[in-house]
Amino acid sequence: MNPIVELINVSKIFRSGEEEVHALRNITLRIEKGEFTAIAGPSGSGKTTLLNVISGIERADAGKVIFDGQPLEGLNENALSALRLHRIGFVFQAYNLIPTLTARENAEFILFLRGMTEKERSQKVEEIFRELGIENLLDRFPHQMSGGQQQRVAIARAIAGEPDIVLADEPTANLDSKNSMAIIQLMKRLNSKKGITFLFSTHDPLIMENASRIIHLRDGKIVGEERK
Amino acid sequence: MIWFKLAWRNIWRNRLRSAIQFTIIAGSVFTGVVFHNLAVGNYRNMIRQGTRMGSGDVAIYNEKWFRMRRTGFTLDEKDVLPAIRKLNNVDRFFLRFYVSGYARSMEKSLPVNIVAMQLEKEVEDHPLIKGTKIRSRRDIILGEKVARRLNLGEGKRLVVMAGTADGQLTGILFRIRRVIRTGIEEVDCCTAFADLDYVRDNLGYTGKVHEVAILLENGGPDEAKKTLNQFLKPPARAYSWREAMKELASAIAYDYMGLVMFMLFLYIVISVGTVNVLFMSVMDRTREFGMLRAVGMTPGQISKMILTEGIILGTSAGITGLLIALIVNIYLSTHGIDIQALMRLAGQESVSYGGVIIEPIIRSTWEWKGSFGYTLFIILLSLIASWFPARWINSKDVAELMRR
Repeated sequence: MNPIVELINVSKIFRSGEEEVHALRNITLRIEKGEFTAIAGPSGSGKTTLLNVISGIERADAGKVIFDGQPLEGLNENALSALRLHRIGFVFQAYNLIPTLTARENAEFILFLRGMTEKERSQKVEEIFRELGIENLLDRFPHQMSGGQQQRVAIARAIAGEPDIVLADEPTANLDSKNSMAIIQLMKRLNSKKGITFLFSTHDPLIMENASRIIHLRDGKIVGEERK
Repeated sequence: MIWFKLAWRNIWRNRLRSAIQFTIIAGSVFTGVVFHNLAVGNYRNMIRQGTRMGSGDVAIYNEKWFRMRRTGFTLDEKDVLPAIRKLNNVDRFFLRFYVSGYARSMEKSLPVNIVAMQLEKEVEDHPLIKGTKIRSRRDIILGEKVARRLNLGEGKRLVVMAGTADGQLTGILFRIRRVIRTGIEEVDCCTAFADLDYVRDNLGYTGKVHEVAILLENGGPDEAKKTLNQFLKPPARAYSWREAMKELASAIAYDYMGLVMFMLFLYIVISVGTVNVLFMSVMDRTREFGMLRAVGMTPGQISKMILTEGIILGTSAGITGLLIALIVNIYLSTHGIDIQALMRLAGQESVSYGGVIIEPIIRSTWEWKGSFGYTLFIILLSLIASWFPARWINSKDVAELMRR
């Protein structure tokens, strides 16, 4: 069976004038379907860049990024957008909900872009919100919610389209420990119950403990890996 | 619907900026439509005045007189009247005969151009002599300056020396019925209006005319000219007012060019303003656009979202500007703008343009085609302007947008 994500000798360099920063150095990695994997490392270790390269938000300078058997190098912007829309869910550190839309509309928006009808969207979103126990947030705007609530809605948005993988970039970084734990438990529950693959970055040891696999990153290199 | 909702909420999100943008577009439509209609109203007034003072909507001349203005090149009125009867939209027509001569008082003589016309008919409508009470065929209406130089006033007798059809010189006796002050130099200094038959009979040109000025009920001078020329025999030929009063036509064309330049300036202002405001609005949301691109929105969908904002703002502001312009236009078409005070400030007695005296009250007209066309153009312009920020945001990398 194909891994959902495979990276072979991937490098990424950021250039600012004459200065070069090696964000990723020869990363080789496989993420299998159904994994609940944490990418751990200090700030600047390349966690976000790794997630961006996997989703095609950033292109690798060297090496191969393969998504479910499909190399990303040859895909144009529209094809990458379609890949992200249909197969990847995103959870961001700063939640990044659309401020002018309610929680329901935020989650429905992805489904709308996928071409679902209004009725289907509404049904699906209500079902997910109920499942996550946040149906009381459906009609709230982002500014009417706490950080933890916003991140729960962001997770609902990420899984609404039933993606193959959810990429979460430090999803708990802006939350207190109680909310962080609740978010990670929620993700874990979705992983075990629905089989959704989660790949998330973190530098919080408490969060790492819950991952079934931890990939340690430092200065753009994989420096260790743990499996539980 | 979701695009509309999203766009509407984005507009509502920064009310001040949206209000500025709305005001720029609505103000441009308002200014453009009001100025356009005022200008068109003014042109129509100029044409109305001009056609009544001069050639009518369409005029018939002897081709040679039209080119050389020599008294001898006349037309027989009986030859042209059948052609006029072929037109079905004639309001009125006037026969005129032009001759130059010397006006003489006891003290001196001065050159004068006599416009011999059907006075009793023309005083009803001719802007310069309107309302004059004509009592006798010897009555003459004289320009103020020529009257002053001859030291003659109303009720005094006056002799005009002019050439007859057989080459003799003869004197025609008139009584000054009215002295007019128009502000048009060529009228005040040296023009007199006299009775057509009286002048023609005295000069041996009975039944002859130089000009037949035809006023039409509903315009259409070009069609009328075409019809007339089908039935007129040379040297008689019909001319539209644009050909007969070239000075007026070019004065209007020149003024219209000024309006076009003004509109062009307005277009530039609105384009720059719209691009600027939309750019600010888009740049404020770069991170949000980055996130939208990250979750799968295509560049085309991002453009659609920004353009929808442009459509909502442009259309609502355009319609508002048009409605306000319509209300103001109703006032301006009934009351007009009195520019007499401004004229006095500029030391002007009256306004004449292309030899035509203009009423000092500018009245607007309502031109649906022009007003809607202008509004649609401004809306379109604001849409084009919103394309630039959309293009800019789509030219950036998703990761770069998200890092901002």
